[in-house]
Amino acid sequence: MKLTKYLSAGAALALLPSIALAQEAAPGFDEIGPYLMTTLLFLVGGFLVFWMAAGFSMLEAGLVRSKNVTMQLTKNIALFSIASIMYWLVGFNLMYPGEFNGYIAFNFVPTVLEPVGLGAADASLDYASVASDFFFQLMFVAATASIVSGALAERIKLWPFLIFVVVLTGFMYPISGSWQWGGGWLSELGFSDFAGSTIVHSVGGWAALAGALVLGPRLGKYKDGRVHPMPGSNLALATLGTFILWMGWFGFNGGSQLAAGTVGDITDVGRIFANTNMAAAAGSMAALILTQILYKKVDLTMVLNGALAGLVSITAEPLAPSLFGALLTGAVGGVIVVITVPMLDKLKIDDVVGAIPVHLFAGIWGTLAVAFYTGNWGAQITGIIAYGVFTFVIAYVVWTILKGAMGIRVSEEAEITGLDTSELGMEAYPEFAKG
Amino acid sequence: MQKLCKCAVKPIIMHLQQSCRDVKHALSVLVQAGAAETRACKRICKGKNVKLIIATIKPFKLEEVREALTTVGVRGMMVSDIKGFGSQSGHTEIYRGAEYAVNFVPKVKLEIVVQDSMADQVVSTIATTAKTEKIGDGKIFVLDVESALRVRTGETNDDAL
Repeated sequence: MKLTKYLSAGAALALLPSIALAQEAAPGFDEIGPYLMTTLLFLVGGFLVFWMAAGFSMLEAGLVRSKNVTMQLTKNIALFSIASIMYWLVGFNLMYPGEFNGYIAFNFVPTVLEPVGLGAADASLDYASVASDFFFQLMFVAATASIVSGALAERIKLWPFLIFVVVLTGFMYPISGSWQWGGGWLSELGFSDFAGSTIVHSVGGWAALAGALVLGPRLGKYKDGRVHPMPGSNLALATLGTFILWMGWFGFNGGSQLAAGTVGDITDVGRIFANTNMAAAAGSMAALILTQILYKKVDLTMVLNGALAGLVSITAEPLAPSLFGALLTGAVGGVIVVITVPMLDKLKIDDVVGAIPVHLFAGIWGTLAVAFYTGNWGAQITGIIAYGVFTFVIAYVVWTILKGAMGIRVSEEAEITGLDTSELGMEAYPEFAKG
Repeated sequence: MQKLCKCAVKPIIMHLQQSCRDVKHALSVLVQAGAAETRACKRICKGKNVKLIIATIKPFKLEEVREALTTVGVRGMMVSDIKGFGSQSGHTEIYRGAEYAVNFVPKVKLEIVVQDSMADQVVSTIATTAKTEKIGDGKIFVLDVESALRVRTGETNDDAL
């Protein structure tokens, strides 16, 4: 009995060298491991960021009035789908052209994936699969477009908005994105924006600001020199949306490490997750405390915006700060929201969900704050201004052209009736009594 | 005529206005009515002493008022959520940093139909229970009820309560 056991063990040992010989042609785990890990990071990060589309949808559905909920949801699913198609058609290759002049790559070609069953010899083993990279990056452009939809809610026509999304996701965002992430002139200047406080969030914010200016405020919002609030229809949905965004942000920032194949990289991803969470918590607490002090009551909608502002603030540099540094960065974001939401109202710029304070103003802050770690204030300020001027000017022109060509605003009657019945003939809550 | 009880007069006058063109007929109707005075009063007056009490109160007082009214013998009430303004004339709230006026304040409206004899007690019960001595405590109105009917049995007026 014992003998046969030893014998079979010996036979197995004798076979081992031949197994090793058979595998010699294929690369070992040391070689392909980083590629596998980074690709996995992009896939996991990508579907987390994808889920942010649900977060934006719920946040916006909760913060608009019930008569405009169906329209808001329609815009959100449509803009995500447009972004997916445009990013394939031109966006991805405009943004990551390889060698180019640093400002704009005339590289208008659709994205092509690797062949099925790619061999290790043909893979870019120092990075990740093209498909996973494309999938991950396209989720970011969708987030930019979502920001615009929230600010312009309750009064913009569906089709002009969707045309703007085509321009934004196919051209504006990829071109300006190439300046930094595509290896263009800003990256050479030393500008730093880790996961896109400026490149994603401020760009969305600038486009939203231009749209809000061309479109004008909702009827009755600023009347007789006073602000007339229009409370959202469902704060439970708005809160759910905020938590979904918060969760998606782990992929947004964590995936932007763009590597996971070494102990250092994967540890950094963990560090980014923890910092991202801390900044959100600090942003919401700052808004909670500040609204209590300023208004004697906590305003939940501001607390939700505060959490998101904390997230936007940390997005430009989620890796370098300590947890305490992340807390400070996020808290300032929360304060910015509470101060700038009423400020926009004073300027009669009607931003339904607070997208401009959250994504633009906190985005600028987050991008500036990077200089505390890099010391390169000049590059940060140049980047902020460059993205601001480029996006705002082009967005303003596109909105103005759309306004002249087809009108971007629904009729007065349609706006008062609500976009759900007037534009879509379908209500979100048809069984609710009108209050 | 003076013997006719108050409540019997009104239907007679209405009857006169509606169908009595000539005075003779009118007089005969009056005489008949006088003759049937006792019977008429018993039949018509019975159950006419029904009052409708409409009260507006602060919503958080509803449960307390309901308990107090049940204790004094009220057997039913109608409750609805309403909005309105009185001398409190609204208040201000802040939404996203902008102050705005809430012109209509939420209240609860009670409608209680009781026998005449209970009305005062019901009113005072509501008044003491709903009172916070702060502005916006509400108001109470008492109205006569023309008639009442219980759908299931066909009982009328105070029998229907």
